[in-house]
Amino acid sequence: MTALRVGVFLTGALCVAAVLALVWTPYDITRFDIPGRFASPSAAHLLGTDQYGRDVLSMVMEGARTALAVAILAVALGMSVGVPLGLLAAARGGAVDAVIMRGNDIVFAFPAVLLAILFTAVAGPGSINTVLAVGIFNVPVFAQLTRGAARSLWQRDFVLAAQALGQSPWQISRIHILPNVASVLSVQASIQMSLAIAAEAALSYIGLGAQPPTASWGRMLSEAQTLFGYSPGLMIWPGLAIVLAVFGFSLLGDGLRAAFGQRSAL
Amino acid sequence: MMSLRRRLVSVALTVFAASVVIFVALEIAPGDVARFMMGVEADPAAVEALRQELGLGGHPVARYFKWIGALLLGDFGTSYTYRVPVAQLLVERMSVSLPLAVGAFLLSLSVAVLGALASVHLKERAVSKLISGAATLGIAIPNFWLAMMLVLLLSVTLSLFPAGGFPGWHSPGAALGALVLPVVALGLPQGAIMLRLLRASLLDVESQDFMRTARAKGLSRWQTLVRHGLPNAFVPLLPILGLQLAFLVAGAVIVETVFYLPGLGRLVLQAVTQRDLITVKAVVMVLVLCVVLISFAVDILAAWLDPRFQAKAQ
Repeated sequence: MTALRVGVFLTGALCVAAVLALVWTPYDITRFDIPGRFASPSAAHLLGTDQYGRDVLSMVMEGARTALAVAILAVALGMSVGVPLGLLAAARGGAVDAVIMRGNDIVFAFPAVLLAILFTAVAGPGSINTVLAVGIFNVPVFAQLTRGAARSLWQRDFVLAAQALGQSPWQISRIHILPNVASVLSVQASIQMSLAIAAEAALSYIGLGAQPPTASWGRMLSEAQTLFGYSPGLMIWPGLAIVLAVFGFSLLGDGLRAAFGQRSAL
Repeated sequence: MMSLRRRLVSVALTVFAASVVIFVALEIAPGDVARFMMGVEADPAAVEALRQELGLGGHPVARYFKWIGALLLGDFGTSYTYRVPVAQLLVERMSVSLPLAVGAFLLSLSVAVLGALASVHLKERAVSKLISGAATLGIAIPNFWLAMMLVLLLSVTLSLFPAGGFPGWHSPGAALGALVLPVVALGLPQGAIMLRLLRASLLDVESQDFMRTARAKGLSRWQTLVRHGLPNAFVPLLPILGLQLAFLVAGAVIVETVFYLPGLGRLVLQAVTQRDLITVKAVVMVLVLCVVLISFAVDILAAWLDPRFQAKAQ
């Protein structure tokens, strides 16, 4: 239960920071304050200021908003396409199943970084690319998971009874299968959130993700890297934020899995 | 051998479909590719010349097959920015990326095997808890941040390793030294992921009958774990390992950026900013091929180690 508690606490803190950043941050991060740059942490700037005199705490809060928004959209995209595909594959079997599984293999050949490279090459960098790249890579993850869980449910007596009552495969999938795979899906969604946050950070770091003036933890780190000598502290806070956010969602997933009494995913 | 043939067909189909996706994304989606690469203000005559050079005149389907045909003969086209054959660039950059990926894989495998064995062997001790705790946290650490922290500690503060750059293989000692931190940054978080999976699988295997039999014939607990536990714990993990290896390929793109290593990842990212779509197309195709072939190799390995996989495939 500790895992679940710590996970809920960390993800809760992330959500609070992100929602708060929508309406309020301690300082305006679009305003530069060159005389006040590279300030050490103090009462006025809890985490200090960066090379343009921007408040690091405000930047980290804005970064939380970017990370969470991208991750939620990407996972939602993966689920809203992947889950129906998985249900369909399990319900129809045969050729439909084979085509969907083959499609999964093709998408798995493109890790999110490669998709992001393709999108950026054509459309230029931006957070939309990140959402699409990570989201598309999530589709086969959810499709396979849903298909696997749904196929074993299709053998169960209550589904046979529903078939005997004359319910269509679509009705059965919606009424009987989906609610029974919901717990497995929520565990996976939590784990995919942690991976999506890590991916968003990595893509922004290499310059394919969020562009200025949008604050992003990955971009904060790539800017801080050029300033090794001046202020190592600038590399600590965004990195710590990524670790805690990723850690929080993966603990939440572990905790939910234990709470639902599922075996670990092997 | 039926299943091998079926797998080969499936790999070929996947590669074919992936190549179509790449072709459509980079040659059809941008519209006028020559103008896209040269920018809006470019001289129309120059754009027309590039269009001729790229052979953009023909029907898309004919162009696709021309591209694939040339690829099969090892002709990846000429880089638009470097003005050299892309194949030559690929070979040069591969001499950095390949050792990086292989080194990181070996490191992550040793970390996972040693960590999982030790953690299961010393089950009730504090060390075991420490190992699994460190692995859980290790999963959350992004490789590029670990890389920056390593540079801060070992290069800037202690000046043990270079902070970045690559001297080339003509000075092998310096080249290996330049790869130490990148290998650690890429391999360690990957090792943490594999450690957790392997540990869970090892705990599953440990309670099975053949493990008790092995103990009964006089093997120590450690011997039993290494000889009978480890091979059996690995088998269910193989499909996941294939996917993890693919992530290693993607991770290398990012770690190369941190250390300014002239590998495939940096090549493709620079090509993206310079709109050198010819190079982007070639590198993405090569990386996708790596990912597909790795998971194919892991599939074959799984079938060879465990006949049940083969039965399932048939």
